[in-house]
Amino acid sequence: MTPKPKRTFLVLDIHGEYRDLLPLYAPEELVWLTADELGLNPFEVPTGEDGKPVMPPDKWINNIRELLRLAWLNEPSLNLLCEVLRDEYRRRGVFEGSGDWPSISDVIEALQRLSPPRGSDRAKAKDKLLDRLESLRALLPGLDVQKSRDFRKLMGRSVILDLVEVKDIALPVLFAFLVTLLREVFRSEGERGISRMMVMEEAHELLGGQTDRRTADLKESAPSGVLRDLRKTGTSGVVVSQLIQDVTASVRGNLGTVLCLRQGHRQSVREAGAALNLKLWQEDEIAKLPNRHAIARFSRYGDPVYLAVRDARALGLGVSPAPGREEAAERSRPILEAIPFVKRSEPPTAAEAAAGMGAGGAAADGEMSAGATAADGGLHPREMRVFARITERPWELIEDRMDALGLDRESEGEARAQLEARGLIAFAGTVGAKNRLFELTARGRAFAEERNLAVARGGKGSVVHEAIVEYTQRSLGMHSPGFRFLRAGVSPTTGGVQPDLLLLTPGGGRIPIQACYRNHAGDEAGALMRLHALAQLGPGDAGRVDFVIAVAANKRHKAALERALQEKNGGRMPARLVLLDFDTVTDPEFDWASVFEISI
Amino acid sequence: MLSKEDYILAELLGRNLPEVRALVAAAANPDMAPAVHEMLRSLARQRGWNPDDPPRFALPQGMSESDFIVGTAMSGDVAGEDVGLSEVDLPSHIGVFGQTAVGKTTLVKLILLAFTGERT
Repeated sequence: MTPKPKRTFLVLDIHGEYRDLLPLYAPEELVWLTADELGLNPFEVPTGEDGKPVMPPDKWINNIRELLRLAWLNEPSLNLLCEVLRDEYRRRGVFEGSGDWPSISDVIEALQRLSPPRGSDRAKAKDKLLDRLESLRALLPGLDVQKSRDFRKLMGRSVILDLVEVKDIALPVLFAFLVTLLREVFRSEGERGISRMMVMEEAHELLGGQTDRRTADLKESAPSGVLRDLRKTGTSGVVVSQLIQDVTASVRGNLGTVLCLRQGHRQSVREAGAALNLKLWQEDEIAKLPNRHAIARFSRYGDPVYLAVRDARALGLGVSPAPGREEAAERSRPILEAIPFVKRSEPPTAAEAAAGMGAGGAAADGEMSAGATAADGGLHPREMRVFARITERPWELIEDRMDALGLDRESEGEARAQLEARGLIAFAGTVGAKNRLFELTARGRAFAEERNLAVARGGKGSVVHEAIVEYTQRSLGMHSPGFRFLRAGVSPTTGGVQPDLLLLTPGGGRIPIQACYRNHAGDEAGALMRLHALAQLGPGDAGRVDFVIAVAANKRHKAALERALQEKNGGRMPARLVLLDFDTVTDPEFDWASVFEISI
Repeated sequence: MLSKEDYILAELLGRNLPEVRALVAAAANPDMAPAVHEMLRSLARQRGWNPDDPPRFALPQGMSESDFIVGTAMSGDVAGEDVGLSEVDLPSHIGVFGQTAVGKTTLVKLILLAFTGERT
């Protein structure tokens, strides 16, 4: 007789309510982890029972395309993603079975290396794709890994996946990714019967709901497909939601069994009545149910059953207090450590670096540039100087770098192109109308550290941001040598709101300066309004500032910011806020006196 | 003519049972209605129900045994008996709905405990 497969479950715990199950299972039977610790790479083809990838990488790209469609990406961006991903697979030898999978960061870097003509459709697609991938990387760091955990091993036991901190687009994308993994790794296990349950708390946020605008576009395609896929993998879905009408008719149609506790809303009562096959005269009962009483309609029998939910304490639930998050993590750590993942590429060894660029990063033609030395990793001295300068000052404009290194435009450009081709630096963004900035790639950082070069510490995470702050400070310093500056992170001034730069004038003036470069003008306008509120404080207030200077990355961004500020301020620009743009601020002819005369 | 309460009683007794179906059909004759009314009440009493306050839900007869117990039937013929999910319920998925703090998550945990525990 064939033994029944072991029964396990996967809980997508959105509210952190399932940790009290932990004491009822042995640590190896039930693990708890957060999404940050997931360690699964969406760009890696998962492996099957035989340890081999379940499908060719080319086919897996189609799954990725569908996943990222949930992050509101459409065809131009998705096509570009497929193209970049295919190139990365090719470059890393993935098609030949190298196993050197690109992480999300690697794909972002590959995208940044592309230089489509400004304003072209391709450039727009690139920007949009970068924006979404960067958001996903920030929201789901647990997916930005090089080599995934063995998903089959992880799912060999019950898992509580704590999603308390997962927000926004990340939730449906993560959910769809997990379902894709289940579908591909456990394909056809449904033939052996149901051996797993998957609990989807707040299901409308995962499956798409009638009332959830964020996932409304999932309504038509995803839910029935998801539930069908789950069944094939031997997984029974447990869809949990407050209001039955929150989940789509398509999802409801796929639920054979419905258990309904008290519903208060008139429409919920009616919808629940229909789902439970209640007679009209029974519907009112749903609104009168005491706590822990339910009306159920089981798939094996269509008539409704009225039941009192079992006392959970008799099964040990809630007898011991639920472990805290740290305790839960500690308990599961040994099990999870036995299913390791690799975060990012290891830095190249000294030998690799001396021979070329380290793992996966050999120079394109395998030859050193003329005049290169092995100690410089095959770089020409001029390339090495440009590299060292970018390492130290990634925010520096090309013209200034040329002046500092005594290079003409052509030599600087050639050296930079070499560094880009070798994957040491990548395009980081544009500031002003046409100033392109570059930053080190992960490989470049490893290369620099290997040679003890001073690597600039990241500011707020954007080279563009740093460029605005640096050049604004420089411009103001030239206007008046008596000005003093405090940088963000140095002084907790201005009433708890920390600007990027605080200008202190010799006369005791306090002027916060904010660099604005993000795509979300509304958010930036909100931060500026908070600073502006400090300019409204009375003279005796310690947090008071005189006025606020905002410097936008370019004129277009300035216009967007202006609109957003007016929207937040009743149609007018805030009186004590001066909005400038990078090109204006760095124009040697710009007269700062006009700003100070008007505003103080 | 039967009253609304008589029809509800007929539903609860099981409208598809031959004797109940025959009674409902006989009540189409207005002369028979008072007798049918009494006979329905008598059938209810035989089940141990108070015909003036019958249970709102009658657990169906012939319902197969549950593999994963989650509660106790509160109404009908088998009030007090264990009920829950069966293996055959699982492939077609489960929905759990209810407003905040009425025991939704506890119910799901019970399902998980029953599912991963020994079969009853």
